Amino acid sequence: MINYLRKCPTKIIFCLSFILLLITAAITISGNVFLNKSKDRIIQAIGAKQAQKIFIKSIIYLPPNFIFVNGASFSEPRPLLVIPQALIRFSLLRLIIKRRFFLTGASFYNPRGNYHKLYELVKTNFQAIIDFIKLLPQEDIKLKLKGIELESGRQQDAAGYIRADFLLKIKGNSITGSGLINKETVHFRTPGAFTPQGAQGFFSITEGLPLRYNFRGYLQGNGFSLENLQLMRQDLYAQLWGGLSGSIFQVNGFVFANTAFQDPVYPLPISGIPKQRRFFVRRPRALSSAIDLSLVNLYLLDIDCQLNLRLPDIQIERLRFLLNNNPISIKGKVNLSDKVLLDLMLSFGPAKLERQVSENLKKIDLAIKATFKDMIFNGSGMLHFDFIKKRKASPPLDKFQFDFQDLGLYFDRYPRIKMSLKKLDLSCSTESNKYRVLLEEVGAALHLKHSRFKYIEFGSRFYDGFLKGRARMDIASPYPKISSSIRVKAVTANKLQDVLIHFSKVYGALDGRMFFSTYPVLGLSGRMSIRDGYLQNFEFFKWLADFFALASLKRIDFSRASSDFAVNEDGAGLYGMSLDSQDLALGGYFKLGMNDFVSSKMSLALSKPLLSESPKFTRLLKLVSPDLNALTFKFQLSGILDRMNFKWLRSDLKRELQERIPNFIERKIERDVQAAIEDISPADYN
Amino acid sequence: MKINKILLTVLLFILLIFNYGFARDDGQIYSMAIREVKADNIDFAFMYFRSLLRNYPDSKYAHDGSFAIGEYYFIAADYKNAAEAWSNFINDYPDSKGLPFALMYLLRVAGIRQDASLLEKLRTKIIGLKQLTFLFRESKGYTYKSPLRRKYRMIYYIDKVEFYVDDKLFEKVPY
Repeated sequence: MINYLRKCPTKIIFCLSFILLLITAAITISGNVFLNKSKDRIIQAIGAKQAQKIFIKSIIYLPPNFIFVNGASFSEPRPLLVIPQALIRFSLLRLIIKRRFFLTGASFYNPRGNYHKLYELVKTNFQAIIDFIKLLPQEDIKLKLKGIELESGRQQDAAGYIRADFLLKIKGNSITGSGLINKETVHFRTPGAFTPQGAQGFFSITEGLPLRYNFRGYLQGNGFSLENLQLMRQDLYAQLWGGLSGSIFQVNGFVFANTAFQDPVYPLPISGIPKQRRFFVRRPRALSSAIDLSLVNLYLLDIDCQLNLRLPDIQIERLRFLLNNNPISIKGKVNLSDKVLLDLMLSFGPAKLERQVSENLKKIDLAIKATFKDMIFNGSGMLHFDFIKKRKASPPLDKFQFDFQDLGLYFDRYPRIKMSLKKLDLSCSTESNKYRVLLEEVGAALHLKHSRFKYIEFGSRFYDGFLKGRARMDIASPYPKISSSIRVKAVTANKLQDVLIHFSKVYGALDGRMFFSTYPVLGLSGRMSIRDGYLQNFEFFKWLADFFALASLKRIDFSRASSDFAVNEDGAGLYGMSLDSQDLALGGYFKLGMNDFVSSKMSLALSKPLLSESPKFTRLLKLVSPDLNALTFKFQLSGILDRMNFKWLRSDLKRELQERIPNFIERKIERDVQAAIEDISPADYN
Repeated sequence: MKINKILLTVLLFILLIFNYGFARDDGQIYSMAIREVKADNIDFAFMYFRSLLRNYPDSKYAHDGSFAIGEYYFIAADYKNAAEAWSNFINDYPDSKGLPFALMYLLRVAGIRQDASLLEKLRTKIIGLKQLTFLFRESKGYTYKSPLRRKYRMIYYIDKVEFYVDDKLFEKVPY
């Protein structure tokens, strides 16, 4: 038997190949002719589903089962999204057998567009997109987006770009995905110099390190189950799981972060007009995505979140987590309209484990209604601190509350944040008293650039005067260490009666300087002075006036009254007190410690003309030397505030009197005064 | 000699039991207690005082009996019962002259038991007992003689209180 095939195999292969080539060429040509003819219809079909104008340069069929789309763009009319190249893969077998087009894969290369416009598009059409996805036949598909470049800069003097890669595979009910995303921000050294026409001078680029992600899940009836979502960056690691069922999105998980980490900045000298495309050529540097656990300073554990997604409304039905062991829960509503609207209630309970944090802090509540748009945050709300009754503390804080109106935070020059506040009402209550401080027209600048220390400079109207200050916060420890200095100028003292009730009887222009710190101990200290004022019915002088019939003491005019003050965990006190008046001079200190224990030494000088007003002092004046212009009483107070013990300390006046008064008279006076004191003293302390 | 002591003790014990049967009045029991104190038999005095309080809680001698019970427990280093006895005394006789000294004992017991919150409370109570003025004198003193014949003295200064028991400094409370 003769085997012809063996004799001329090359010829046969050539023949077969030629036939195949002819068929391929015929299919390719007819396919391309068909696609070319159908291009407009395809554009129309896609365009029918959306408002954007679509342009496709060419559609090319590549055998056996690929379609190459060249130069596709969506515009409105300015370009919204440009896809230079896309490769679509379809099922040839199904096309031949079922005569239907089944997509099995799509790859988009270097799509670019405007992030904000696309975000807006997705936001407004979110439900339609979800519905569209649901309508898609559940077929295996592979979707790939490579080299996405989205312009994110909005300001003329700041440009930014988001780059991403995305891969999605659907096989049966299983979905897997992975990719990376990073952000690049361009900072111009001369703010305002960059115009659409270009910039002069130097600029720097903050190249955000890539955030890598991967996820795995399953499609379910009317949603999906997220088995695992991993987010990895050099400063972040997160694992989340949960799912979407109807409009209910539920997620659990944990996050570790290093907030002190800063993206590297590369200064680049550029002269002339920078071409925007120059920024696109840079790719994320090949740095490790693994977080260094030893540098982690923020732990978000036990995340339990349930959202009701009715976009643009997101109802936060439950969001609970532990932030560095501090339990936090959030409820409320977020609206992702043109402006992001927030209506949130946040509750923060301090860590049980961190005893040094603030052992008597029970709870912090925040209620806020705010908007966020164009990196500007505006809102009003209330911040409330609740304390556990602490036996040892003095003054024992009970509640501390900030009510703020029209708070504005401007993040456009981050890490420098500008802040404005129309009104801040700060109230504080202890077991026995309530205090209130009112600030209006507050302006502040927060400097957050330094990784460890954050600074704030602020100023405001303070009643009829003003207040100015600066503070530094050290965030290296779990409990922020704050130190600040505040200057108060030209405030009518009487208006501060809500701050301290004693000011209700003090008149004059008050200037002061105070220092507040939370470390090493919580404390407020400073100095205040009041110019050209008077004391009206000031309790101590009123008592003197009534007791000794010295009517002039009911109103004491003074040129200057000043004192240092300190409030800390040991108590509150006035030190270096000084009051200069024509007929009176007061000096000394007064300290109110734990459990209202008083410790005080004071000197009170009363002029002879003043004392001569009182018939009770007439005899006393006769006993003392006529050379003395004023009588100076030095005394010590101690004991419990409402049952203070009194001691007349040694002085020239006392010595002089003791020399003239017989001992039995001294004892009689002592007994009489003690009896008088016991008559007016509160009931026994039991 | 030793046998005599034992005999005496047994006799006294029988006598005490016997006494109950005869239901002596409060004055008699108190007198016997005081007699035992004078004889330096505070253990027997304690028994009489306890008998007095049990049988005549409303007696006019109950105040002294109550104080003596507290003193006895403290001397015997039975701080648990001492604390209870002094607390009862403070509640039952808030106007007693012995009150500051009852507080003093309770303060000492709180110190021994390292009860910081009770210490702070008692300190505040002692400091707030009296409001005083010192015009020409440096201090003011108050004395009390207890049923167990101990001399108590309390000296107030402007910034401290000192307690003396039988002229020995027992406790100091600075302000």
